[in-house]
Amino acid sequence: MIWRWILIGLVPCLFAGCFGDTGVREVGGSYDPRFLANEEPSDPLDVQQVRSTSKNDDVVVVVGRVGGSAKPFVDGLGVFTIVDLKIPTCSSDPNCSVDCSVSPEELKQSLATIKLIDDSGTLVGKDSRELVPVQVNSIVVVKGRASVDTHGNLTILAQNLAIRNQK
Amino acid sequence: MLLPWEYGVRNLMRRPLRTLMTLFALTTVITLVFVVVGFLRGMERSLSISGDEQVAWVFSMLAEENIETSAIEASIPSLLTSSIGSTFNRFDVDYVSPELFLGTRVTLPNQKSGFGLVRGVTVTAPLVHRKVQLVSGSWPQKNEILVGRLAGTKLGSHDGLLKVGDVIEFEGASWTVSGHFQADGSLYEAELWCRLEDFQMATKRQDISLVALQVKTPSAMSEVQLFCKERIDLELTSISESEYYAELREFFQPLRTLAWVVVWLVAAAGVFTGLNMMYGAVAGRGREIATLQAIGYRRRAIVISVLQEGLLLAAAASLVAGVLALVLIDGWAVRFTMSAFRLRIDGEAIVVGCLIGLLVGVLGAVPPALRSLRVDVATGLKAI
Repeated sequence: MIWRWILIGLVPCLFAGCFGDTGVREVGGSYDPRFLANEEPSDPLDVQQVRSTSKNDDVVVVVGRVGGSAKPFVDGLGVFTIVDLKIPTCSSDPNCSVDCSVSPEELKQSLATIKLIDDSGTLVGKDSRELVPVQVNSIVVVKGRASVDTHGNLTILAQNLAIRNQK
Repeated sequence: MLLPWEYGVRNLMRRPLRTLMTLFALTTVITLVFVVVGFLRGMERSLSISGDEQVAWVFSMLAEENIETSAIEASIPSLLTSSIGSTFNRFDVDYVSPELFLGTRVTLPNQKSGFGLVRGVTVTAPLVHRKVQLVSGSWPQKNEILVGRLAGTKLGSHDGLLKVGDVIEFEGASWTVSGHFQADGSLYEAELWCRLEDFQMATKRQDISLVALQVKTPSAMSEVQLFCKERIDLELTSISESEYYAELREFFQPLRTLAWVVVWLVAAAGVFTGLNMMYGAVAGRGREIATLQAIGYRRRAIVISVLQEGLLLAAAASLVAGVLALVLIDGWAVRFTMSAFRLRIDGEAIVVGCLIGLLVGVLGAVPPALRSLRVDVATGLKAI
């Protein structure tokens, strides 16, 4: 008799792990296809290279990893930061985009801000993660217009982007 | 047919000393449950009430949300005001508060010292931190300090210690208490506020820890984030105050889980107390229970009567513990890592405490009730 109840009790264990958040953002959901490039732009440069060579209004192609801070995305806007691929990530934490050994000065020279704009050139008022399947540490290739301010901060205004390590 | 209600009540009165001792033990157990639940409710409330979704904190990206270690240029507030259009403004006053925040050793008037939280602020601070209200005294002038309602507790003393005119010392300077403030039970109440320039002078710093600014709508928080992302050179990051405290709540989740484990362990102790008492009560009544069955009462009726005894005792203990909790525990101020808060015995705490109390009563009475029916009627009638 008691074995019957034990067996009944064990049945839910068979389904353990079938439900709940797996922590991986699903790709191919209701993203906006306008913001995802059909093919990867050719000859992309590193973030550091673009920062040192580009001027205002130059059209640039840059490759970088989404990250640079604990929260690289701006909530509710098509804006996020990318970091140069040479900057190491943490080996222990998949959500960490920059290793602690990187100096703040080096990190500053390796960051760029990506702004997704629509056809009229207006910043998209929707979270980047809802527009394209990106997450922290996604490698993106972006073609867009550079905007460099007097302090050397690089912002790239792009209408779409390509994602390399799309899961 | 059930046994009369009075039968159970009278049974409790047959052994008054044992009943009283069990009542005392159950009351102690349930009061302990109230203490832990009150702790949880107090912490939960102070964390949830502390956040304002229209207030953003801008601080150093390198500080990793540890505001104490943050250091940003003193020119950032004006830069933010000129760059962020959605900053709240009334009568030409921008709701932007530059602040220097530090945990430091404070020497009290009685020469004892404790770890205090000091915030250097300007007159815009109460505009941004809308819950803060001056309840006595006046806004601090040079080398004066405004004391939060729970600052005394945070300093390891009692709340009434720092009176207006008292002198305390920290960072090598003497500070006179100018008044007291409250903040609706939020974590600010554990702080000491002084003028920003005085605190900068005392700490020999020219920078600030953070800028707290109020935006017109919660959705305008994105504008603040955008500014921080674009001005990479300033190494800034931002978070909404409500998000910050939500993350803090998340951080303390293991502690809450541990507190609930304590609640259930304490409750288990109560169950054993009840079991002990009810086994004792039932053991000497074998003949009586057999007689009840012989005259026609069903087993179910006898079980219900024993359960009634346990429940009555637990209900009385819950009531006494509830009153004790409301009178003695509610409002107790406790020190807690980087702040202080008050234990809170609210409606929810009362319901949880009393339900656990009743559960203890039922669980403590069921096994003895069932055991009493194992003996058959004939054997029971012959029992001594």
